[in-house]
Amino acid sequence: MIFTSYGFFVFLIIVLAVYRLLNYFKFEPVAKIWLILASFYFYGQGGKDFLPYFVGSVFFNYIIGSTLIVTEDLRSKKFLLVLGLVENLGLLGYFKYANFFVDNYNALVGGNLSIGKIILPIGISFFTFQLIAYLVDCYRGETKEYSVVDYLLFITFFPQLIVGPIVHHKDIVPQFQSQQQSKFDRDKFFLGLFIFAIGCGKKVLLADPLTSFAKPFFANVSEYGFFHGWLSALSYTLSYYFDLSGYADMAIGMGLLFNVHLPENFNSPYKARNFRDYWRRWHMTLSKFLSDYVFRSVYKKGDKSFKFYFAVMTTFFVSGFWHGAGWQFIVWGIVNGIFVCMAHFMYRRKWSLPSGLAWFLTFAGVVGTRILFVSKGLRGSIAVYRRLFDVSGFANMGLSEILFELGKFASYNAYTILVLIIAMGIGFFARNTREITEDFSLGYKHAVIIAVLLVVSLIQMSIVSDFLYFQF
Amino acid sequence: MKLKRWFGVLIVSSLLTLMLIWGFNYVVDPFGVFGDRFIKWHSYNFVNNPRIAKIGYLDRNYEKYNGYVIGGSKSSSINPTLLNKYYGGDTNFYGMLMYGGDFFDYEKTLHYIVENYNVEHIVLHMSMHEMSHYHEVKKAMNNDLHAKVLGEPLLPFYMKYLSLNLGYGKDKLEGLLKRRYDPMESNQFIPETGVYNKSVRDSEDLGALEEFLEKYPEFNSPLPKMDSSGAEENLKALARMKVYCEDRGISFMFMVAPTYYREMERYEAEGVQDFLDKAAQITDYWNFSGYNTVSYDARYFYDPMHYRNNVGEMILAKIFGDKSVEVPEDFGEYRIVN
Repeated sequence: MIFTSYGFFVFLIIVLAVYRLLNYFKFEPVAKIWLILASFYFYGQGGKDFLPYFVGSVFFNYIIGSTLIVTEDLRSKKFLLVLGLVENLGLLGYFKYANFFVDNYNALVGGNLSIGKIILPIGISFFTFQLIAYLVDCYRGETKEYSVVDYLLFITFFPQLIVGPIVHHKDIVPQFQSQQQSKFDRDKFFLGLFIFAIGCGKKVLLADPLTSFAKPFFANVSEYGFFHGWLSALSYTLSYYFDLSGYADMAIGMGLLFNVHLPENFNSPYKARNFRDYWRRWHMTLSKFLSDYVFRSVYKKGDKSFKFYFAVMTTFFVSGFWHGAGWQFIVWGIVNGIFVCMAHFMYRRKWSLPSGLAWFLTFAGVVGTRILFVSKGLRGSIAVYRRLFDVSGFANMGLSEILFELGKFASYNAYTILVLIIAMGIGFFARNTREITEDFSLGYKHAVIIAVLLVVSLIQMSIVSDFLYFQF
Repeated sequence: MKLKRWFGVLIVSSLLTLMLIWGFNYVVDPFGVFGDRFIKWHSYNFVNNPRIAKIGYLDRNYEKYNGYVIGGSKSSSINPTLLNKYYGGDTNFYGMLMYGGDFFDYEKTLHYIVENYNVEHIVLHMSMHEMSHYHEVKKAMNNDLHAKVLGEPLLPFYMKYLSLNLGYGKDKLEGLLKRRYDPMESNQFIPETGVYNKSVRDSEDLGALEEFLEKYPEFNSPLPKMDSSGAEENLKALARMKVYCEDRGISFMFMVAPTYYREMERYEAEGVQDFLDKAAQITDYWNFSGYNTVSYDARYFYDPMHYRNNVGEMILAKIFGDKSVEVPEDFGEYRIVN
């Protein structure tokens, strides 16, 4: 079920209304169970076939986690942790990476092994991270035993279940345990509505038009020219931001409707002046998870520089592999890791570039790596890079002819260019959602913004597009 | 601000936004539902959905016409101007072609135009693919029939088109810009006659058959099979339409379109023969389908499913005995009701 669909709106209204009513009549435990059942239903709508695995995995992890908490013996704890990790990584590995390994095995030995097409269960990459974090914390003794209801709410709470933000049990469970949680908080509710409307607008009005323009180019590079290539590359770069941050805003907004704070996921990443800065602003909950559970597993305080850079590269290698089962994602991770290492290297030596140049180079790097990310494999990305720098089509043209072609292209794609300019203006210069909501109040301005964004988004939802991160 | 007042602002703003969207869709009118009073790009609207846009257009221009060719996309090659010549007098035909149509669509359209316009002549054109369906549930925006034609309430219909996804209007406005560079942009229809503008395809040099087949390899491929599951319902509708026209003193002509041999092969031969025989029990008609000189020569077709305008001229010449047009001997058969 897509957030930006009429079906989801009906679902949300029903779930929210029943949840609020149950809390109003002091049936708090029932309200929590209602929310869990609604979340399982929501998940089932996206992948009925995987629902039994999902339910089974969630309960299995709860049993392992609860046992880890009460187990004193280190060997037993290690065994339980390994068992839990094997289950989580096994499911993820099978559904997401099995075909990748089989393909590479076949390519390496010239084999003909086949395991058939495996459909990736929706959201598996995200909730697997949350489950692993939970188990690791149980092992480290950093977790108290949660009731099964609170634990289930932490994993299944539908606003964050599919594409994040990736939540940590320490941030979420205490909120559901709080006495305040069941009370209706008017300010939070309307703030949630406002953030939800912003997310809707980002997705429907900015991300979708840009994605629908860019996708055909990346699917069939040879059919398009120079101008189309550049407009597509820029469009996809911007659409990825508005798509993912739009989803995050909607999730955060919905969280507040249920009186739950979800963590911020984006902080104006396209204003970054280097890649170190960029990854602190982009998909922040993923970065935090990777930092806590991968980077810090490799790098310990006091280690030498080489270990630091090695830890950075390892983290980005994992990030790349997490994003997708393909070599282009691994290369994407490595390139990002190199850029982040370069930024750290400059930072440690107190080197800096003029602000404008630093921003330009960073954004150019983002566009370049985004091409790797969205192309059809490594070869596809090379074809895209070639198209972007292939000016042979203009070889026999004078300036006036080139300008004519440019004018024609602009006329043919006026709407996309307009949306791209607006998206760039917002991405580069405007305040982000958190900054905008800092001065939220029940005033005219915010009522008008909510009304305009929600009504226009609802009209535009007659054509529904998947969120780009659904593929992960 | 008080909550009550805040909600008031929210509701008023929502309504104002909705009205702005309605205004945009009314002015741009990408489906011609409201007659496209401002942009007047009827050809674009016809491309989006000829069923609806033509009703929007004819509601404002019906006084110019008194004859209608009703049929699927193939009927576009029956030139209304030529029909005017053959019918003589003050006859003025309009092409009510609708792509993918069946006899349900044709009958509903016939009723609407007879009840609302001045109709003296009806030419009902069967493409042949109608055999396989009758009153299919249309899911796409470009296949909807107008609520007036269906006899359904108008308010939900107009609300649907007022509340259209803004992308449709955006595409039309973008098309206006594209038209500055390409005059053929979304000009596939001639609004005044209702038929396709095939000026580019009609001016191409066809050459020898072998060269033509090499240039258009799609003519060599078999087409997916089609059954005759809609035949009985379509025949009943044909009978009703004939009686309906006769009762109102409207001349009624039924014709079956020429078909490329690859298209003929996709139908069940027995089903086709049965349909044609049963049609002959309902009305006299002209049958140009089947295997003949035209059906085996791909140059008579734009694509494996659509015959060319020059074939349309041959059809009319055959029907009206015009010797100035060369028509193959084996092309066309007049079947008299038995």
